[in-house]
Amino acid sequence: MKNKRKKHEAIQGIAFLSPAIIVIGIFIMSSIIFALYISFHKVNLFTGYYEFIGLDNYKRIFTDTKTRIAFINILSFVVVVVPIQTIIALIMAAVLNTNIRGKIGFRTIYFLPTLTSSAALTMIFMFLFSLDGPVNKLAVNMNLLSESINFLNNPKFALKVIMSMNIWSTVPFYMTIYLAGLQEVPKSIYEASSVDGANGFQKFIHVTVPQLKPITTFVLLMGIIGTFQMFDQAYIFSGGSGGPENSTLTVALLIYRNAFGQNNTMGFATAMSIMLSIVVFIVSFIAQKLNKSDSLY
Amino acid sequence: MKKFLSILLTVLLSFGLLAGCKGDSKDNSVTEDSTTKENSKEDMKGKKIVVGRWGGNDAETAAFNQVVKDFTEKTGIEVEERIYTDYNTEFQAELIGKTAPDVVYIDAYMAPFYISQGVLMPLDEQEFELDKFYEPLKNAFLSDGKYYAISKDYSTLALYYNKKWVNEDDIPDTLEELWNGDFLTNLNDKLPEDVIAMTYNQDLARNLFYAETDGASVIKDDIYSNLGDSKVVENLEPLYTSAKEGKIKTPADIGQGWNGDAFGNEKTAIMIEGNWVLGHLQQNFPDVDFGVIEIPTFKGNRGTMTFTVGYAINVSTKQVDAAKEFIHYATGVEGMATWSAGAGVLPSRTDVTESTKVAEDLLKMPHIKGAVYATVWQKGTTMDTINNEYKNYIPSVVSGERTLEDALKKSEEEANRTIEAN
Repeated sequence: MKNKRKKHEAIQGIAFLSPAIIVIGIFIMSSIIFALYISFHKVNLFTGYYEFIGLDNYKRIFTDTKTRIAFINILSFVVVVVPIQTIIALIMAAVLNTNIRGKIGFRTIYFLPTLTSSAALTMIFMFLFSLDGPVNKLAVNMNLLSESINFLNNPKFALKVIMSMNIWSTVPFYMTIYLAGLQEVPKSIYEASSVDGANGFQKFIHVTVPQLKPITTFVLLMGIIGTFQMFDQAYIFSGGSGGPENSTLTVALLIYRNAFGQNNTMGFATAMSIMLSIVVFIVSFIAQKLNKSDSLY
Repeated sequence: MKKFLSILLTVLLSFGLLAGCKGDSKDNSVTEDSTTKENSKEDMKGKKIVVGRWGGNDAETAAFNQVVKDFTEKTGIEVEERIYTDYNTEFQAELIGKTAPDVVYIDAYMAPFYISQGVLMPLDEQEFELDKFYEPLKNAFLSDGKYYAISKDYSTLALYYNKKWVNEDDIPDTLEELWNGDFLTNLNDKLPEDVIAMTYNQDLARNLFYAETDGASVIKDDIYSNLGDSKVVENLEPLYTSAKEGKIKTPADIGQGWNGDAFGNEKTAIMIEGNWVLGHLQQNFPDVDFGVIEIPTFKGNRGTMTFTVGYAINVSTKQVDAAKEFIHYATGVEGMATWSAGAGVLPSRTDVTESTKVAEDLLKMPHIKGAVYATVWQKGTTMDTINNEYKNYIPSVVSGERTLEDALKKSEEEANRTIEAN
């Protein structure tokens, strides 16, 4: 009797899941499998030409200088952007969670950058950092710079401009997530620490931060995944070239260039995407281990 | 009973989902079947073709709709348009997925690539009256003696100057003189502080015609980059000397999206730009008083770039005759006149140029003159890579970190490494 019921339930469960499984299977799983398949081939999808070349596409990732530059660029991007955006988001959330005046107004204003499209933001930042733009003018007028710096054309600065834009536009989103998380922190812990004589800063370090560890894990993962796939900003910024001097060449941009346009090296592009997902997986794993979200007391 | 019902419901739902897909494909096969057997013109009534294009401004959309309307009235063939926002990506995906439109815009720049992939149908020279077209424009789609697309219009570059600050007679006759002489320096002194004398672009699409002056070529052995060639370096020297001295700047340097905005906002006095900017200036900056002249000569030669787009037929279309009929009309005397007059573009046919009297427009005339001697923006199937590396390394020349020769050599090496690996 019991057995029959279980079986019944299993069938029902599968039936309920099947629409989602079918859709995911067709549009996500099958494309992943197909991508894996063509990453081992030299392909021309127009003519339907497939030639098995084993690991050649993967080997090329390690010998190709462009690919190496792209991976180094994106790693440095992630290393700078993710910690900064996480820390700023946490601090801003903590501040906005206190009873300061007009906090709803602040929350709204801070959230605006996230709502703006990254393409429009890139154009605005390119204007701000242009040779005759406001940033240069301000810095020269305040005697911080002796003459204008060409931020957009200088390989030393180009990626940093994109970094600052990325931090600026993603912080509010993570701040909102932290704000939601802060609602769940029990007031009693703060009260207890007050009794113990902790000041505001100590409460933040010893209560807020540890209590928010699970949220931090989520923010870190989302940040890592988002930054590794950075494409649109670099594309608009460099007009698709990844310049100046390869300084804004990201992996996603290189994948796009190999897959579309005149190159038609889909096999190499998919191999690179798979490599990228492996790197994202490893970095996320390390970040999660470092954060140790399960050590809540 | 309730459980049974819920199972039934979900199963039905998932089947419904599948049925949706199935029904669609069934529809397609029916139309395909009914259309394969056709021959005479009479049969074409009620046929339907899909035309793929990218969106332009409102005037272009209106002109296209007018051409389609006239065409449908005349032949009875219905036209459905498909608009691309990211042409190369979407069109390539459709070709691979076998859902590409019957007739499609082909950019001259990408034509060699699509022709080499064998996705375009060769078109007959006589049938489409190609002898009436400007030489460079019809040859843009020529490969192995066959034409694969018919040019629908074109644009060329010309020099625009703001009449408030620049006198046409003062503009030097040669590019060398313009860039390296005192004209721009003197002009700069005269201009308000936030206005520069001239903008330029770091893009082979704009620089190719002078880079290739005097028999120089940016490509060797058909596919490899030849940017480091001493002749090419020499040809590009005047431009980048001027840029290094700060006489000319890119639109991005002065915080503008492109030449058209820089010029319209009166941030620059001179620019070299295509005729697509005319509509932009007249619509958005009606107060700017400007003149247009042909680009000054370089090393004694007249030169400019031309950009053309043609109509091509997808090789796997089932509607060959209707598709040909459409191209025939759209690139014929009547269709092209409607299109070019409505969209404000330049007609690729010499007879339409005459009949529409477009050359009488003083602002368009310098562009039309260029059609005869222009260099088509098209260079094999590796230009993307070559131009990317060019754009990648040129900024260091302007900032003074590399010499022009060094940068071009470096970009040649990088491009060739990529081309070889592919």
